[in-house]
Amino acid sequence: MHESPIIRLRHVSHAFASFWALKDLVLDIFPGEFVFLTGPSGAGKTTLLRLLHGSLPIQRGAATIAGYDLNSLTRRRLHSLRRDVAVVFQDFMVLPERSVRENIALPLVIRGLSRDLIQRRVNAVLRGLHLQGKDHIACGRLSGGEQQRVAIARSIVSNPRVLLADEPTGNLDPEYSLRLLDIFGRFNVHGTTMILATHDQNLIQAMPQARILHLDQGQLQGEEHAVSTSGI
Amino acid sequence: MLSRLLGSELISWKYIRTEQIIAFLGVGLIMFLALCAFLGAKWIHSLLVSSATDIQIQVFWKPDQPMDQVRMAWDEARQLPSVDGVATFTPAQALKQMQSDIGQNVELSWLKDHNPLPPTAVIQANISHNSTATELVRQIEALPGVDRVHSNPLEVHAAESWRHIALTIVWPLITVLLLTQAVVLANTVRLSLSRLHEDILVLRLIGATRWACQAPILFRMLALTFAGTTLALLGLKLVQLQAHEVLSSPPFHWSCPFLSWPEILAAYLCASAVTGLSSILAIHSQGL
Repeated sequence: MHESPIIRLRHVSHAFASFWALKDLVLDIFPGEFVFLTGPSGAGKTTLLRLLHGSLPIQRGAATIAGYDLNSLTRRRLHSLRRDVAVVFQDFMVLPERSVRENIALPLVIRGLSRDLIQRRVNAVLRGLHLQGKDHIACGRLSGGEQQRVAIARSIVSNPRVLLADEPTGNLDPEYSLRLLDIFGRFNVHGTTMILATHDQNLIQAMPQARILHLDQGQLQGEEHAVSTSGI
Repeated sequence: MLSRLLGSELISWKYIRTEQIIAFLGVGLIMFLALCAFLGAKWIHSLLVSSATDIQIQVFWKPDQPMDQVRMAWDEARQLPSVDGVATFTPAQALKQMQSDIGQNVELSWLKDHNPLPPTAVIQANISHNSTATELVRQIEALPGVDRVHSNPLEVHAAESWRHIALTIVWPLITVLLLTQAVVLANTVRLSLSRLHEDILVLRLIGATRWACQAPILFRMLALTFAGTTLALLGLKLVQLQAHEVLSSPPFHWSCPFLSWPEILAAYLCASAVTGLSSILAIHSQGL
């Protein structure tokens, strides 16, 4: 990989009161990579994803993502960042009263795209995630797995450069989890850089080409790579 | 983009939450109560203060005062503030009136050449205007050629007292009541937005600007306020019609007008201002 990293962290630390959630993190992630972020609860996975999404300020160190300097992020730049860096949460975060189609279209409406373009993109995503027959149903009436698919659909409909997912399969059964992983993999193939925080080993083993970063007590403890694990 | 976000709010009234329906009814009731209090105060003011401040002052000019100067003084009296009307009597008119009052038994025509009656005027005034009754009497006494000024001191003081009570007690009380209603309205609006935290969070996470998050919520609350105020005005109109039917008949004969157009517009503007401000504060308190 010779191109510039899409995510660069240099000695990044973050504390909540006197508790250091991240300590002196140094990390490069390149465009198109599929990265698993693993570690026990409290390791700092969510804190790292929140930093990358601009939800937390950079207290120490320097960080850039998709060309945005997280150390000098203005409010206007933050909105722009979140249009290039999408996020999926464990608890779905869809608007329950709105329909599947309306939820998925929301990022495109915010960007001011034309109705035709919105419809085409939403239809493509609905097909890709097998949600065609449910597009007019209120999200609150869907199952957990379906709601998570809607959340993923909403995050990818605007073709983000980076997709951050924080335990996206935490509330789902193993079979459904693997199906979602397959969806993530397909979009990764199309060029979206994926960072998926999980402690589900089944998922990690199902994606042998992924890079695995081990976090514990806020520090990067180790790294595995499909290339390195294969001995090359 | 904004129009589309607002449009999706407009066509998605099926997504309106119970809290917002309660807010709509709350706005209607609060505005109805506030407007009832205002209209009632307005009726009481026009009834008691205006009528209680009608006074009558009798003015006598010096008997030897030339009539052209007396007529100039009468014109000056008509221009005085608070004066509603001036009924004038020349000495000859006064003598004729006296003859008419006394009757045919006493002949007064022999007094024509040596008429002892002075020129007089009866001045009707309403001191709900800016000047006080005492000041008006002083101005009348200062007119050229005036000999005596008669007024009922109790009437003068009662008129000023009603005006004083209205300015220092009644209207301040109404103002406090309206301010209380505004606080209740603001709190009702704020509570109805308390569950919007998650909606706002989702919009922020997908890159919506602050205004894109605030505008649909603000628009919805202003629309609910407009609808609630309209409902309140309709209810108030029914009350006004009923009150007018009862009070305009004997023995009351009271006039009970509805709010004027500027007052109706002020009601909409005040309710919208309170709603807008409390909505913005509620949204800000949820991290926007």
